[in-house]
Amino acid sequence: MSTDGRSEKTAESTDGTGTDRSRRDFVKATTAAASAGALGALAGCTGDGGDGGNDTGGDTGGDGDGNDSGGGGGGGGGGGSESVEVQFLSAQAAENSSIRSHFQESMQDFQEKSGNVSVSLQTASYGDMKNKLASTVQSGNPPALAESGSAGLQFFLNDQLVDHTKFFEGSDTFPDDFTVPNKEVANFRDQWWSAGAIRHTSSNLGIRPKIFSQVGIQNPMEELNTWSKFHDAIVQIDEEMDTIAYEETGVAGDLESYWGQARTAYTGGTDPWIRGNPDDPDVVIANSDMEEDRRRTDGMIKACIKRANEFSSDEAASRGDEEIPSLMLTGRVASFTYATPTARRWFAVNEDATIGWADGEGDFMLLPDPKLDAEYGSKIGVSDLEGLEGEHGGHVWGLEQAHTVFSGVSNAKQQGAWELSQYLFSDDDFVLPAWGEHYQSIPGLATKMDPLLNEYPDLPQNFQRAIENQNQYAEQYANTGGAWDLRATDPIRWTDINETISQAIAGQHSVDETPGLVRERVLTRIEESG
Amino acid sequence: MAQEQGRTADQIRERYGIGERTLTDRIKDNWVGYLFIIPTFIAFTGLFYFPIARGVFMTFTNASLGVTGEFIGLDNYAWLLTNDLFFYSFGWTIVFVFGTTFTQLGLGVVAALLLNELREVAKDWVGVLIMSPYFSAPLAGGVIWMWFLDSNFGFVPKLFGLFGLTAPSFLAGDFWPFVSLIVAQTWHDYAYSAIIYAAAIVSIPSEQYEAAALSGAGRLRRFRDVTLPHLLIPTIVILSLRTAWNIAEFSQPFALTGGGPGTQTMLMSILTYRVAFVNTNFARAYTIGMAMVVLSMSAAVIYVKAIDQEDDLYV
Amino acid sequence: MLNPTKRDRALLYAGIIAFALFAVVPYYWILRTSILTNFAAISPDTGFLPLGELTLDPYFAVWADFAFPLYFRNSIIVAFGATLISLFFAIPGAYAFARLDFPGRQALFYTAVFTIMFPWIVLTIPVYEVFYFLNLVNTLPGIVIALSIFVLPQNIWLLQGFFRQGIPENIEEAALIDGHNELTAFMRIVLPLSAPAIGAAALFAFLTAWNNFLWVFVLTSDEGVRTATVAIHYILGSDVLREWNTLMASVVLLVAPPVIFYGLSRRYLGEGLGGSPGG
Repeated sequence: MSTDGRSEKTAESTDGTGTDRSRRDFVKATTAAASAGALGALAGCTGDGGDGGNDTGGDTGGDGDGNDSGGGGGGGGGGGSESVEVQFLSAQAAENSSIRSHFQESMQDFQEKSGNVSVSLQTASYGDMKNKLASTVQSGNPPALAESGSAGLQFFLNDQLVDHTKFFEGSDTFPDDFTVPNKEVANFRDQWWSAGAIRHTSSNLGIRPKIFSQVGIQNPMEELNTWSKFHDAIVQIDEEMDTIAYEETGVAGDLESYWGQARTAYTGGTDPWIRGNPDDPDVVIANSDMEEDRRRTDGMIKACIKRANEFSSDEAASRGDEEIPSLMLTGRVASFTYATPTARRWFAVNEDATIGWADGEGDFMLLPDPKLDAEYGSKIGVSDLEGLEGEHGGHVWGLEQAHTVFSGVSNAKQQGAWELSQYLFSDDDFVLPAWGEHYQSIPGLATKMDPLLNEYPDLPQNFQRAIENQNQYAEQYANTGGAWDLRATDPIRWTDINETISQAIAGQHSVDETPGLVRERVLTRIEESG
Repeated sequence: MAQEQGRTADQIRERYGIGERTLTDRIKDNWVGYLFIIPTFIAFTGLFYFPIARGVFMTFTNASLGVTGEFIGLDNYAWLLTNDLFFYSFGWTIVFVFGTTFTQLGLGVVAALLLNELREVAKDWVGVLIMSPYFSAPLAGGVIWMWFLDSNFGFVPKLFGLFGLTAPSFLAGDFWPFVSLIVAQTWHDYAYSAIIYAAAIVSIPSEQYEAAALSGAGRLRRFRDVTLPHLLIPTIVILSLRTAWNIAEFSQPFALTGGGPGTQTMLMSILTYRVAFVNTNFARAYTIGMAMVVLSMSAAVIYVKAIDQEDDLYV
Repeated sequence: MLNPTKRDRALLYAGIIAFALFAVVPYYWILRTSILTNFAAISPDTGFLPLGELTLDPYFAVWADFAFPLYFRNSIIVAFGATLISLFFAIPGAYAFARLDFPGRQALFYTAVFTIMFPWIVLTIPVYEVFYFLNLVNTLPGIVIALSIFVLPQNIWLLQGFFRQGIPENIEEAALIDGHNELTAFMRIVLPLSAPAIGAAALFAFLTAWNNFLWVFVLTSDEGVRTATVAIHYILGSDVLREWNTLMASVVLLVAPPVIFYGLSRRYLGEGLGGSPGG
């Protein structure tokens, strides 16, 4: 509506001389121009303000320009004397403050050793990695090297990563020295799509000795080695003590605990979920054509939900593994299946924590996931599992830590990024302190295990045990999803499987209908992604 | 002053003897207005209009991580209409928005009325306390409430324990998480309406109260006849703005429950985030976003309609 | 029986106390956690007011283990920068909307209001594209620009309401007749009268910029340009979640400045906060 004819009209109509008017217009115009100019100046000053190390300058494509060294790549030296800065986006470096400073120092170390490659280290937590990559890669500004995790596969399929095969061919260590899971992680349908995971973490059974010793457990390795024995122990804890006997880490992002449980229904490392030709895969979940394996897979899904309902707290469906150390060290939780080799997490809560059995006085202890025994099905009330057996020490993961080199940067940067990734895998100055001290976990190259053990002979029990599990089940230790070779591995794992089970733990659908729902969602996903 | 505002364009023209003015006249006299706002609108184009257009366009493509996307027509909208989780979150978002908006409004007006009764200095310091939640970062608000309600480490369960009671799990099950989210959101934002109401109450001329008191009106009567009419405009402003903002609210619920347990408290904003950055399907995420836009824009339209009818509502 | 005035007073104080408790007790709980050792913070044996076990270590840990001095420096730069720039554009813009009758004024005003209400989570990637195109990603000026534009619509809206209603038009008219030109009239008469509203706009801009998570999160990945709010988000996503006291100390550090800032400025801003005429 136009009720606003008020402004300065009045003054004008009363004195209305031409000169006055133009003077005022001049003033008005200058003010407005000043504000317009300020915006311009602001945009202008950003040129020198930006220190993102982004040498694409005003170029908007960001597509293989800049200091091409000319060489087509391949392994070996390259680069010449020209110095290059690579952007490295890492989630590992954001995990805790001590690994963070180790990364920062190591980037200096790498720079000195390589001579001409400097690193701009950027960090995002694992949960934010996809978000960061989505915006940077989508707009043509990828980092040179990133801990892309499973999202990296999408980039590979869209030709946004370099073909790592050319790097592998020029290397003595890749892929020969890879750990077993890394061979699956880094390979997609016979192509090396990533440089692999620089470390592995496993999820295993974790217990609180102080509580388990009170229900008569004396030798946990023996007395908790099957699901039935474990079941009896937690039933007793549940009945006799004011503590959560078993806590499921049931938030969708932390249900790797279930992935480990699922594998214990099989022997020899058989994949519980998806097998066969990736173009036309067999989905085992709720598949009536594969009755025995269906019972194993569906049974473990149901057992996971039932165990959570029976023994876990009300919060289980939103429980993250981060909260477990606080709960267990204060005696509120007796056990869980997301125990990792990283001892630092426990000492962060209580620096006096005792890790290990310690004559039943320990605060936390890591064990292999129990074996499936014939009686467990009737104990937990899942008929599918009755009479079935299997074993597998837990779940190991690596896909989340897969590092990738992006093709949207200059060849010199690609080469620099590859050199950096080799440094992260194989340089003892980085590898040994990183995984032996700052963030205890299994190195991505199998050959690094012995040097690590030599350097750090006194490992905490949980790390020691995780390594023994690794040795015992080595050949079976496949990474969930790595072997599927599916395009939609990532949403199948996190959304279709984990989120559906998390919903069931939250009571949004029943135990028995869950495997069918998972199957439906997985099939839709495979169909959509091709 | 009130009379000044009440003038219509015609009255002004009449008073100053200005006749009907043409479009060119208005441009000629006020062209500087464009200069004043052009920089602003250039900036808006970069941060608002262009991205909005891009986002809308993306809903008709299959853009996902690493894929620029090809035009696929209305497929994403078809997907949306067959997706149970979307309908669930749509319904819960509406409940959440209604619940928070009206409790924020109610608490805000009560807080403003109470504060108005205090003496000056007390008013300032108590005011700071009562308004303080609004000034904390929403992300921090989520953390604060998560910790406050936590079954094991939280204040509320501990307080229950003091009286020998067991608190319900405020962030689990199929009832309490909804309540907790609404209460936490109310906590964070009720001060917004309190601030606006407080300003409106202070600006009511005291003569109007005195006149009402003289004519023998009691406290309630005076509230109804004098205070209430002055609160109409702020109420419309608060309702529409807070409705839109509560629809868009992401940080605090994300930090508090993140949509869990399971997907029980999945708000549309969190679902959009999850589809975009967990499933990396941007086109579908933005399609969900369009439903949020439709909801928010309904609130905006109500606001615009209201200011259209009443010049004063321009506030 | 109490007389009515006393009873009213009692009710008033009861109401005020209830509000104050609702507002402050959640804060108290994080404050308490932030001054305990990590184990005391989670132990069921620690009381409501554990006076004997207090420690400032979590704050030192926050300071030492994370680059918080840097994050706070960034937050301060960003919040002040965004406040100044947004006011610089909002004041003339609001003035134009309030006082200049140019064609299209209303349509433009509505589009500005429309942006206030938009759900931004929907648009993170296109916005990133624009800022990358302008070479502003991962830079402090980029964040400052993004945040100043982001708070601009709200400030224009707040100020134009004040210019329309709070400043009687004839004051300007009188000033013009008195020999002021438009600019000096605006600077000498209108601006001083609008001080509370401009102060309120500045406060809102500062708070929005300080508290903003989404844009800073989307537009940065370098630690060198990270603000405190985003740093908290990353701490939440990392292993530090096991150190509740450190986490809560960082939350306290994040929340305290804007609340204190508001407390200090409230007196002087008076009722300008409502976007309505003062007194």
